[in-house]
Amino acid sequence: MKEHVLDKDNVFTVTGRILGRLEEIRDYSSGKAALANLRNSIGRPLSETIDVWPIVFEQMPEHFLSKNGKLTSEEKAILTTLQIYALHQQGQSVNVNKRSEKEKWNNIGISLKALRNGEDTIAIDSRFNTMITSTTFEELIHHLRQLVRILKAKKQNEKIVYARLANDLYWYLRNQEENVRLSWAKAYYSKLENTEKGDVSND
Amino acid sequence: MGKFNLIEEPWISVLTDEKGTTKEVSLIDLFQNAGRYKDLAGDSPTQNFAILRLLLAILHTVFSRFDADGQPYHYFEIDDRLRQISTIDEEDVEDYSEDLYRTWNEMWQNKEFKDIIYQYLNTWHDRFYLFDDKFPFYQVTEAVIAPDKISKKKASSVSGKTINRLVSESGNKIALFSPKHGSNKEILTAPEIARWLVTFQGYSGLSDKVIFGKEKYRASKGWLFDIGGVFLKGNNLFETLLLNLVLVHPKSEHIEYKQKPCWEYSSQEIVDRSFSINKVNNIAELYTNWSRAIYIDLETDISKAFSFNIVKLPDIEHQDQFLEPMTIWRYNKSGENKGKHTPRKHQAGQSMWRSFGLITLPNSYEEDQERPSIMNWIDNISESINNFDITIESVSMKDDGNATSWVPVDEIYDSLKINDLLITDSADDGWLIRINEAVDRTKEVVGETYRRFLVDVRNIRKLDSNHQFVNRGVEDLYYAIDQPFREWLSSIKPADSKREKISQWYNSLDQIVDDHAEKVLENATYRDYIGIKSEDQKNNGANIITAYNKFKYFLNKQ
Repeated sequence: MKEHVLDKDNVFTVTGRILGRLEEIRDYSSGKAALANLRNSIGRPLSETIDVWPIVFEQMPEHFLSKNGKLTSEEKAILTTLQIYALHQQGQSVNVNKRSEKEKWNNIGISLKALRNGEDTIAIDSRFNTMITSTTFEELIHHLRQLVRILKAKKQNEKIVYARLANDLYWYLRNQEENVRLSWAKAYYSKLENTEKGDVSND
Repeated sequence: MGKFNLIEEPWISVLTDEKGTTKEVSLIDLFQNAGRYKDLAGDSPTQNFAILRLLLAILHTVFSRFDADGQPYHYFEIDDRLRQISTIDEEDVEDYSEDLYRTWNEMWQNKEFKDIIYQYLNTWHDRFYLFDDKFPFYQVTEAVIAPDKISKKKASSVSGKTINRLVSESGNKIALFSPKHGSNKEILTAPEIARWLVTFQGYSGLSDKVIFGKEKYRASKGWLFDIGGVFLKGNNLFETLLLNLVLVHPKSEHIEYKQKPCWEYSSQEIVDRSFSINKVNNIAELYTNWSRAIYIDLETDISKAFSFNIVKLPDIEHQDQFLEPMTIWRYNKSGENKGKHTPRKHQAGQSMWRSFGLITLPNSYEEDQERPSIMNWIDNISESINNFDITIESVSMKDDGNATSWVPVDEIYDSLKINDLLITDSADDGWLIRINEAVDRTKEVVGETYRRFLVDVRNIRKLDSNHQFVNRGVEDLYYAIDQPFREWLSSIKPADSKREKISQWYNSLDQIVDDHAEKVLENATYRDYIGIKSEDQKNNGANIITAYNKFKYFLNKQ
């Protein structure tokens, strides 16, 4: 699917911009506070988390913003992504957001694939399967957060393309969950991508 | 006292224009205007095939004895009934073949048949009566099936609704959605009787019981019933007749034999001949072969329910019956025909292009492969018909699979359009081989790679191994590639780059196959994602995505 008007802001670019801003100030106390605020906002209604508003809404284009007090899909996807990013970044010296131009369309399935080795694979697979078969957005996010925590604990170097994640979550909310599910699962179980072709015949 | 002479009375249905207008014509009319008629347009493709062979038998008979101008060849003697009475000397066979080629070529150039064919038909006028007491067409006289000659008191009776394969109803089961109903199921017009009579001799089944004598023999179910018919179609009926007129038989051993169409013999002679140990050795005899001694009562009032009586005749030898030019062959690796070729029927639900190799590839390409001689014939005449878009047609009668009744239940009919230069390009790097590789790979992608994916999905869903899920999926995919493949095939021009054209097909094939696999994914349930735990620990359990990724891997590898 083509991201609609290119010159217009979309979830992908807006998320990228916000993350860029957060990275710039990461080493300052304001940046740390922002991440802490994001983590604290998890699971709480937005009205009680005034602290994250400036970070999130400062960069949002007008048309993303809600007019009736309920979060729009854009807001929800971006906020959720930032929260997970904050979780993932906590206590890490290197940036966990992947920004390389070449891999900017890699989805979270590829990042999570890093967990699929050794004896834990079966356990991780079943966690992953539980996540992608979630029936609601909230359930999906719950499992996603857990997986990211595991990723953080086990694979320090593994990064996530957070802008893509926000984009996927946005389309998940826009009733494209089937496509999101498929593309994550394909990437997660893929063997060819990110490995040299020669490796394939060995397994 | 004959009635309804097939030479003069209209009875063969032909297509007269592109709009689909049909009309019934007589034999004379058909040969005179063959260039103006588009095609045979009988009641069914199997009937057309049977009639086509009858027409070809006439042409084979005439033009094996006379050249295009109606002059007899000087290698043998011809009597006043235009019969060949002496045999040809062995050393003359080669010259004779040359003459036959010349005859064929002249006819192809002339675009019409000369008088000799009408002369011949007129000479044998008395043998073409549908109803006759001495020489009834395609039937026997009453004396031939007299009670003392057959195994029961009376020959089996077959009613009009069985003879008419459009209804094909026995006395025990009623065909629900038949094109005729009530008592008119049993009524046939004289032209219909004639057409279905010819068809019945080719496709009869085994449900009738009466045989000649007391001793059992292998009865014929109709020669056409057992073959995977292949013939060629031109732009009009004349071209179709000529293209299939294998005047110089590609198996040279058959060239020297006299043509023996059934009408040149009495019914008793034909019955006796079918019991003799001599193999059929000439095309006219093969094309007018009978599966039954059929007797139509002369008192028959055709405005009432129609029926005729039949007695089984012995089967034609099937093993290595290479006289037959219009069938595909199977090489038997086991069973009673081990080490021999037998005709291979077309498979229901399988497009003809899947047998592309069997139909077109030269004999030597694969060990024990036997190509239909009609394709060799095309090789031989390719210079005369140069750069001609021919259509290869295939026709078979589907049976009920019951070895004791062998009831015809359906027809298998397909066609494939292809340029003749492609068919005759059988060099090692020629089109034929390349196209065949494309077909083989297509079959592999669908029948193996995609099938394996479906089997994996079936296992993930824990469906029974007999579940139709896999077969249905494979058939669906074949159905989906059918049209694109045909279009691709008929789009090939001999001058095209082979590599480009072939990879063009592979691209669209991969696309279609992948689309189908994606569709399976789109319909996946949560359970498919969760998958199953495999006993094999190394394999980490499988789900629909791992199955898909595996499929993609093999698809790309090919």
